[in-house]
Amino acid sequence: MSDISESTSEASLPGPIGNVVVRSLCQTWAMVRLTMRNLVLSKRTLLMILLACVPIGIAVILRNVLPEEGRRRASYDMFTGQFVGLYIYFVVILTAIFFGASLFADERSQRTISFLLIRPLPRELIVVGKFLAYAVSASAILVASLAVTYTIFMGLDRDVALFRETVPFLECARVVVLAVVAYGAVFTCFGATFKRPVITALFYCFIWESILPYLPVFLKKLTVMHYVQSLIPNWSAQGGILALVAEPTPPQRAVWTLIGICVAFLILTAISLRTKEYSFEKEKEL
Amino acid sequence: MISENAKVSPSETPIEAVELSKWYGEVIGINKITLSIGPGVTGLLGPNGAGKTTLLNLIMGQLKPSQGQVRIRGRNPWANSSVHRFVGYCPDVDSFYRGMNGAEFLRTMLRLSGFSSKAARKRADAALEIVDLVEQAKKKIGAYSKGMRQRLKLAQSIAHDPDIILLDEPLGGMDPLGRKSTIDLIRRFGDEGKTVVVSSHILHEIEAMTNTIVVMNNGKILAEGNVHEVRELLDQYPRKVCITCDKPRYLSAKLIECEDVVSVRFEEKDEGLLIETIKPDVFFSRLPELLLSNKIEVESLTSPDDNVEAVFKYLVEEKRR
Repeated sequence: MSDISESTSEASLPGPIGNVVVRSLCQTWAMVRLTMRNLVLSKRTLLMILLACVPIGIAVILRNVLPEEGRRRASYDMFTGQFVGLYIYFVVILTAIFFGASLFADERSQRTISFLLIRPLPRELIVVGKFLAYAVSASAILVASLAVTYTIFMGLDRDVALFRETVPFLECARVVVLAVVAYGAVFTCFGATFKRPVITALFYCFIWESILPYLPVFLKKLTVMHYVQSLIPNWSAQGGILALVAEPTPPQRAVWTLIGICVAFLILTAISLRTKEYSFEKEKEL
Repeated sequence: MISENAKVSPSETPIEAVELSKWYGEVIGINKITLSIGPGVTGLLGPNGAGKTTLLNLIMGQLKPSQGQVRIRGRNPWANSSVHRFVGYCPDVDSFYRGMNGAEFLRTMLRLSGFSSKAARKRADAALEIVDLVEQAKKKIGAYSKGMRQRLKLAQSIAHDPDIILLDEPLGGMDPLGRKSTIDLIRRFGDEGKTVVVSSHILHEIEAMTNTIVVMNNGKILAEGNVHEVRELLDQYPRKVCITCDKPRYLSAKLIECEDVVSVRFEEKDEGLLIETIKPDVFFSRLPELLLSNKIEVESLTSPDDNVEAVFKYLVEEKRR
């Protein structure tokens, strides 16, 4: 090992970034990059991509069995209705569960969280950085999948100019992104708080949110799904149980509520990370 | 090399604990510890489960005290990331991010610590040079030996130039050369005026780094002070030496003739000998000649008392008296 005084002469080694805002932004970006890197190397990403391909496969099959007559109308209704439902209920929720919940759970199980918590890095920035990485990567994959599905439904009909039809696609993409963000924040919080976040998240989605249609109307507003459904363009036309019992929240309010849910759960995650003890010596020593 | 981020009032005690306790449910991790650690190297000595890691984690702010308080330069470290600007920690956890090489890991840690990309690169290179990992910098961490991973952890703890360094069992898994280099490095940090706390359960490791030790057992401080005094206390008691060789019976016959050897016992399968000696220095100076002249091939030679159990035993008995 070399002489420290030679290797680390203070004059040659720059200090940390002086400006607090710039430093915080750089730290957040470093956190985003680290999380993205871990996501790319994770087997879950492959699973997420396969999951995102499921609606594409179904769309291909359905597109070929639809009758020629009224194909476009059927495609349109199917895409904006059932298909977005399929994305929200199946792809988005599972993506949010397995990725959102694992953002902190993986760091904990692999014990790498120690390296984050011993840095001069505010824990709030850890939460923001990790969540941004999740939101961007999950949204990108799911919106790309949605775009392919949309193209399959609409693109085959040469009479329909695709660009004129982008409005429903953008509306659906907005719903998917908001659902990714809102559910992701909830499950990120679960991941930072609970020992078995995936089980808790599965319980939340498939038990709690599933029984709500049979409970009083006001309870529906305590779910993320209510606000997501309120944004699905063709949702009420389907006459689902929720549509019969609970009036959808106006779109603008639903958007803000979902953003609010996201912010609230990220704050809870930061509080959880601040107050929770992440130490492994209990297992090691005791 | 006290950097801008390590500027703190020199009058503030680097590390201070008052009546510090930590419980895990009904299990006591740390029990009413009061201590003050100043600049230089301090050895934290204790067997597994003594509470060393708990104490380091409390100092680092990873754990919340159940009772009492701990201060770093007068600040409460619990969930307070600002203290980490002038504290470096080498945890005992042997886990790294998958797919990274040593240089990438260090640069990432430095970027997370608030250094610009350029500064992170320079500091990472310097830290790798300090721990002698320059040649392995581009190698995946997964391909590192345990000793190399230990050195990388050490590098991340010093890369941001802290003036308080906490090292949890830093020599674990290192080869003799790596141990010597790391011991020299830790001593130099102490000479530079940094506050270094090193935990270990091996007495001679600590002895090689510092004269100042804190002996812990069962979450309590048993003794604080000079390591040589503790070593002298230990030498008053028979020292155990375990030898595995090809001629254990022959060696035992030779050893039992020596005045300093109190007892010789056969270990499992009659391959190992457990020897008790009242003069370890005499014993160890004579042993090589004895082995060579009798053509005895030694497979292993360990001293169970080198782990600090014997010291604790002595100190615990002293306290009982």
